[in-house]
Amino acid sequence: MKKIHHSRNVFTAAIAGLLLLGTNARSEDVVKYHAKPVGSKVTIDGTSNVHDWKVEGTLIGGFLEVPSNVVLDSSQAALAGAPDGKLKAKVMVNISIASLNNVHKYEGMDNAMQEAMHAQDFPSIKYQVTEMTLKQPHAAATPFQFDTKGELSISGVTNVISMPVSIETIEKGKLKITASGIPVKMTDFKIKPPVKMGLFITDPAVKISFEWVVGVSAKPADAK
Amino acid sequence: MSQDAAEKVSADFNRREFLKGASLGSLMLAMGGIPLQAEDAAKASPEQTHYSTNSPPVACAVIGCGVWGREIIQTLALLPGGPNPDGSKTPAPPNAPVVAICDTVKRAINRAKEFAPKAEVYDDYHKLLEQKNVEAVIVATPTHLHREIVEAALKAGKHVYCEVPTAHTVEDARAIALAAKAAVKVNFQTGLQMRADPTKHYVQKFIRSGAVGKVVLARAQHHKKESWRQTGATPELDKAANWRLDKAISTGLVGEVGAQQFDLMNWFLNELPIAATGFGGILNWNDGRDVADTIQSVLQFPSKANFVYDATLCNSCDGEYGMIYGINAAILMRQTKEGERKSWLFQESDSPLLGWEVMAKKEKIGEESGISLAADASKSVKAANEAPESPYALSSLHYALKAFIENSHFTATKVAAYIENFGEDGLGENIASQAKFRQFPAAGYKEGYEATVTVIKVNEAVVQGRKIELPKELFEI
Repeated sequence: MKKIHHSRNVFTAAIAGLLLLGTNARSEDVVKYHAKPVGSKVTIDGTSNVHDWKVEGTLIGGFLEVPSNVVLDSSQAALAGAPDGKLKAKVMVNISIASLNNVHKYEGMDNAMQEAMHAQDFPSIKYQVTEMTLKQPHAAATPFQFDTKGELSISGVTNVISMPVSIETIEKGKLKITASGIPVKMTDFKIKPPVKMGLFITDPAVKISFEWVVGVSAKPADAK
Repeated sequence: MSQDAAEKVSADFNRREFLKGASLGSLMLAMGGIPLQAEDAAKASPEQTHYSTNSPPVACAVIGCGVWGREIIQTLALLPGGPNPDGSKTPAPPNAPVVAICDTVKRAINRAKEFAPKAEVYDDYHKLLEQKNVEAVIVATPTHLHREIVEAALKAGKHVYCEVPTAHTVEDARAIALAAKAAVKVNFQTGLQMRADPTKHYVQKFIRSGAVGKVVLARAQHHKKESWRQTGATPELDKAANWRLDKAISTGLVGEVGAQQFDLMNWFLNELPIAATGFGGILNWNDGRDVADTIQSVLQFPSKANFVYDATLCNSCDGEYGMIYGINAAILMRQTKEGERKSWLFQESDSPLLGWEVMAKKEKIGEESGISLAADASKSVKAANEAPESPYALSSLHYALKAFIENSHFTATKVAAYIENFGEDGLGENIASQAKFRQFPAAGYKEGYEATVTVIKVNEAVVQGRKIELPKELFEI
């Protein structure tokens, strides 16, 4: 019995060592662009039967991770490291609902929005990319255009959506990722659009746009 | 103000009325030719939602439970929790629960406890600040005690509302402002209530838009016959209770009752004063005090429009009011006996017509006919409302405290969101950049410092009976 136990311990330690080696090797094979606290912007445009509305925020957290042989330099004609256009990227976008502000300052709208989106239980809008394909051809010195597919999670509900994005090199190691007018329906995420007195009715259809600045850091910040 | 601009102001207010759930009559009026659409929408309308437009509760503590501290406690209890999420008629609990109160005087604490029966009681504010359940602190102690408490509260990570004047010396006022400026994770507000009051914002629009023309003179007064003398159970308590009558630590009538008016003028004129002249004396209450019971002062501004302020504890005639005089019109601001704050515009006979006056409600004030400056003052809106409720029946203090609670929640959520994603680097700049999205205007540390320095210097002029220059550097934090 003792002998088997000892062997199991050695075996477990060996596997753990291999995994550790594997992990170290994986971190050297990727380049991680972390969200930057300055320069980003997200807007959600909506309407109602009375007036349009817009919320805006400047905090977009998360990261973009690509294999280290991929060179995301939009000044170049080709996307080095992804000859077939398919990018093996890991992308997590995280937008805190509390960071969104209603631009017109309609009294109480921020509080109502946070409640409608169950922000206390689900504080962020999250988008996790599952597929990322470069649209060809790409002209040098223009932003890369990608078709992405991913899981959009809002208020505890996840739906798969398509989202075209562009990626532009701002400076070495810094990118701006842009998406514009992405249609989303509140009711698809089980969010009840606000209705007041049966007369003021929020339209469930909204459009999400963002400009997201990410960069390679010497010390990556903890992404959550 | 152009007709387009005036109509926009009117339209904005009508829209706001609608969003607050005004009567159907005024809704239909505000929407013009849309009544049929409104009826159609009602037939097909989806289920009514019950989202609260108020922030979640912010647990408050009040330090200083004298007359004004108790007024604050009572007003906090009135701040609404909004509709109940379950759709029932029972309102949600107030969003500013008072969880702790503090005072060194037992009598004050006992009286305050009547209005905050669930609050924990402290006689040492240090112990109160240690309580994790206290999120926000309102400092309503005597002025000369503010600095120590405010600095400690900010250090303890609490949102702070500090009454005005914030301090009795320029040095203390600057220390408070610097501490507030550095405390980026919390909300700091000073008790300059008018900055949160929609009636004053409405008046400010008329001044800034040029409706009164170039301002040539401003005037305000506070006349109320009262002693200010308190009695304490011991000589020590008596001295502490009568801090306002002690020249060494009191900013006198100018600071203790005039701060709001002086700030209003700084705000409306959009300038900082350059000189103060004052006079004062003890004309009636000769009881050993060394603070004047009657004062007059003149505050000079770069535009040469002077602000004349007088106050007395010796006579109540004509109470309290403020006036702004411009080349085209004058504005009178006063509070009625019922507590309603009202303003009127008196146009000069040769002033250009703005157009909207035709629709405006006019009232006789003495021999003059004044245009009522209130959001629901147009004749058509008045006609549409069956029983118009004044939108300004709530006190300035109510609006100021509501702004404090909402802005404290605003700050806390923004700070948490930033730190979660990016840590603390750059937090201050980000929070400052989001200030423009605050829905509830209020006086911050800068306005509090400027108003406090103004009244400290005017009081100095009154005490010395002379003119004092106010260099620009004095107002720099």
